[in-house]
Amino acid sequence: MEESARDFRIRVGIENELMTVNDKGFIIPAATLIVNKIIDDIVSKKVDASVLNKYLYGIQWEPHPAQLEIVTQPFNYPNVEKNMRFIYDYLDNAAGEKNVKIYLGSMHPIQSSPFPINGTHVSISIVPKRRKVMPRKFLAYVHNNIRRYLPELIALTANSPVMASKYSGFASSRLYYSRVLKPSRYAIIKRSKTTVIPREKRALLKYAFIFTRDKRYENKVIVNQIGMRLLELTPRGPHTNIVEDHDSSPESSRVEVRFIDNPSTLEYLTDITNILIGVSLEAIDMLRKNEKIPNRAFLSENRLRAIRDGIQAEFLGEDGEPIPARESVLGMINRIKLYLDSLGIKLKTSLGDGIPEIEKFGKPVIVSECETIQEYLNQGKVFLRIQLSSNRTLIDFSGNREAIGARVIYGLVFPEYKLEWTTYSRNIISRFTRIYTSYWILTKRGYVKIHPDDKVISAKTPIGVLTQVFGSIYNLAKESQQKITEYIGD
Amino acid sequence: MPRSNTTRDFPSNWKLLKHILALYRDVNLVLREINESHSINPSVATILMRIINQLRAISMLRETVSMYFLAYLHLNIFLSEDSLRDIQQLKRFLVTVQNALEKIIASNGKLMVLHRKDATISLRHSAVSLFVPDGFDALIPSYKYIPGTTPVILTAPHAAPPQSDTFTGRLALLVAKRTSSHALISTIPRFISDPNRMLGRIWPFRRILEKLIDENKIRLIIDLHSSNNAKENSVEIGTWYGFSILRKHLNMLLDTLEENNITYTINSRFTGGDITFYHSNIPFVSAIQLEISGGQDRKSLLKIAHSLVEFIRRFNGVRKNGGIR
Repeated sequence: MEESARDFRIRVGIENELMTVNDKGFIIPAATLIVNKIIDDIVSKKVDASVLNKYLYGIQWEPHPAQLEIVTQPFNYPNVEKNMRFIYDYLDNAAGEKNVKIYLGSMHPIQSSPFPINGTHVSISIVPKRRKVMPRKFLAYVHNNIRRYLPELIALTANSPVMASKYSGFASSRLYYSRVLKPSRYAIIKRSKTTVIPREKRALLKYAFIFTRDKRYENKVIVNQIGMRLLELTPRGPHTNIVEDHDSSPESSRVEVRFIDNPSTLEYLTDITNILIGVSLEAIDMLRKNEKIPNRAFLSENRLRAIRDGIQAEFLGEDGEPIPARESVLGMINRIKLYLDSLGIKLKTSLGDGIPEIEKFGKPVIVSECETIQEYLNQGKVFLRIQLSSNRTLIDFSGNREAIGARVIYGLVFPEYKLEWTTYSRNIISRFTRIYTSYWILTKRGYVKIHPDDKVISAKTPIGVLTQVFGSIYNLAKESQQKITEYIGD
Repeated sequence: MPRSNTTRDFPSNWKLLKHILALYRDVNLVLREINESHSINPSVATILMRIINQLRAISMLRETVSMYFLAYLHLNIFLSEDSLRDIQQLKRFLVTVQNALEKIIASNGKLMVLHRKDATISLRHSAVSLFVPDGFDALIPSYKYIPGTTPVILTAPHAAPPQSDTFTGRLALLVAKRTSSHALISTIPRFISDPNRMLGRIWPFRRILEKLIDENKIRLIIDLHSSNNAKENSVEIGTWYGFSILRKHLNMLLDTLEENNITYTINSRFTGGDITFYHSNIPFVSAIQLEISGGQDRKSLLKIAHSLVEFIRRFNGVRKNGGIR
């Protein structure tokens, strides 16, 4: 394989979804600001469009107004880190000029319930040097081999353990809660009859299907019977049964990997793409040796375990025997090492030792100033009656401050979050490191800060309060009934 | 592994709706009884017990359903500790509940209608539905208030840059001065807090708005916004699917716009934000969102200001002549 690995043109395309946040780290719908700034730069020739075009295929705000989607041009594999650095540096400047920050993670630690969700999609194209496009068999083999290692790859890249200010219980909350991504099936190449409807006419069709004389027989790579695109892993291009790709150029043939949580550094992103290249080359080597890629037993179960426990998961082997995920991951890395060596690729991060980012840097630390109150809020009991432990200040809605003493107050309790993070650059947040929660109570007259030693007297849900109000009206009705009875009795 | 509940935040809608409809019927019955007898009649006790049981049944559907009521009902209802001994207060409470229930029914028991893309409403994670960033107290009060004498208030929640709705602050000021209306202008950028979202309800801008409505017997809220994507010399009107304003008041606005040759659309792109949705639940309060085209020259802007002045004067005139409920 050492010689033959260099006989391929290996290209990598990256689709990176990011989030716009304010200077306190909270989501703001500012993706359009960044995109418009880039458009302005191009129109005013502040940036050379031809240079930008070398790196970027496109930038879009979608589907959430705080989500920024960057799509790169296909890069030669050694240039991923350098080119992505150029894009991030450019985005850092654009964000700085608009007083916005960009967060690289998959899920916001507070404002994710579970949306918006970001991911990194890596497209891999491996083309023999004597050919122009990725052959169908390559598509199927690369897909099947990446799919075979799906649990290991998820365990290695899972990086979204916090959701809605709490540990979600999943190493990758993104994959667990995603409504979009579906698992793919083992790829097969199938000769199928296709009815060709020109793309521009598809939208005009009145019928669910039509029979035309314009039929072709084609070999298609199929991983989903109905040609769905939004899978965790998909072969793409006109040689697949994906409807959107019907008219695309054969040169766009690639395998798209969507299950990766956003890494927080470029080094990790580069290593992930390198691991995927290694797995792809192993697949092609197996094809060359005429070996079939096995359809792994317990794939779905292992995938779920990887999503839940990440590298700490326990996978099920072919016979159902338990295997620690890390052992399995290291096995995969050892197997692909040969191919990476042949390309001169060395894994620079802890991924090479089977240590995912989430373990290397640790999960964000969640600190609550008052656990009891947090517990009530988690139960939906947001209306609390509290005995203040010390003199306190009430801030009314006009900003006036008034001492209220250590009295009993009632109102709606809400959290105040303080977020801490590490940065990639001045305006790019790489990951959140600490979430600190303190609490306020909103009374009818204003706001009072709650202290940890204040005592909760009673707690109610909104329906609880409403029931109480109707209960008091009921008591009034009963009282008046009693008065009438007494009057008649008298 | 726990079962995913991402696809449905609520019990099946028909179950919830069944209870909501029953609740709506009973609230109406209580209101009718009170209106007829001008007192809390013993005969309503049975209906009230039914309401309490309905509420208990709803809370049994799923834990998160309780937060659903927080999204639709008025915060003052929950915050008020005064007992409802006064008949007027009681009627006011019941009408507010009735209005909110109507909106729940109209939205078919789904929160999707409220769930704007950039809003943060998390019912499964109630703790984060309403929160503030650190340094919150330093941001109070975060608005500028111009007192008025008429029962009309103009709000400009996105007046502060960056990404401000251009000229809405100035427009609110100008119209308020000419009509002696109240005006409330946000002074913090929407990137810190957006007063026109559910999350904004706990911020001083919205709390003071609620207080002003109560204290000054406000009857009309005009929520001003501007959009650069809108057609020149045009206004996009949001009435929250017709729930936030009486038809006759809307017609009054449409007449003034037509007389001034200003084109308009109703509930097309903008149906109204949280200000229009939430504050119009209060009895006798109409709320309307106006999305004015951003690229206006001074002349066009004055024309819109003139139309608003005219509209407010007509609104006040009709009120003075006793033509309002």
